[in-house]
Amino acid sequence: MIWLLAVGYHREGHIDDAYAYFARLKAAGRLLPDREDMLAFVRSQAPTLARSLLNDVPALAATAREHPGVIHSGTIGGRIRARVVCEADPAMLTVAISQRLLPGEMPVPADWLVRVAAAFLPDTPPERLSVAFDLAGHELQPDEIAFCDFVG
Amino acid sequence: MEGGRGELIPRITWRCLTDDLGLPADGVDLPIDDLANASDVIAALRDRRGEMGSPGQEPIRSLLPSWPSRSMSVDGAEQRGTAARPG
Repeated sequence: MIWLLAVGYHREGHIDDAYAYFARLKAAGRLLPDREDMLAFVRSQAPTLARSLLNDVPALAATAREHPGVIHSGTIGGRIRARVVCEADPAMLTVAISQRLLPGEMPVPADWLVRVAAAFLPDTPPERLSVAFDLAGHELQPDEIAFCDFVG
Repeated sequence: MEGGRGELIPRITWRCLTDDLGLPADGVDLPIDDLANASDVIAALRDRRGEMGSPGQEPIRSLLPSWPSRSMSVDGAEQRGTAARPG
């Protein structure tokens, strides 16, 4: 990602020279992107996430079901890391979703989290999503939250 | 426009958009191509986003030591923007 932070006219030696203006903005804490900028970025990525939910998630879940007990990893929409595993007899799918949005440290919006979980478990109503505390016996990462359900 | 693999995603802070470029605040949600039609500086950012380090883009290390930052001159106007990306 590249940010346009400030714009000004370059007048060497003038008080309103661009570089002096940039330095004043930095000193005032107004130069770097703020929370509103990051939220706008998140909004801009929503269509990308939607496409990935429709295309990438079913493929990842299908791969997990074809290889029971094997943890598969993916990045949904290029922004949300997810790991998924399917255990056999009875078949149970567990998905661990990172709560940190890539790139950076912003948390994944709550509605995105539920949408990702619902995409992995499309037959499970959101109110019936069960929280899992491990991933087929493996520890979750500190930033992950996991959901599971039996799959037909 | 979307950033593909290895491509920088261009974004404009709302402060820069409104204070420096005089564009409406809701423009922060517009696609970069729409904003580029309203500002030569934004058009330059869009067109040069993959050219960090090319001649004419001076590093501003003293300004933002923790973020790689460079100036970007826009032809004819002597107008300079500062652009940065997380290091």
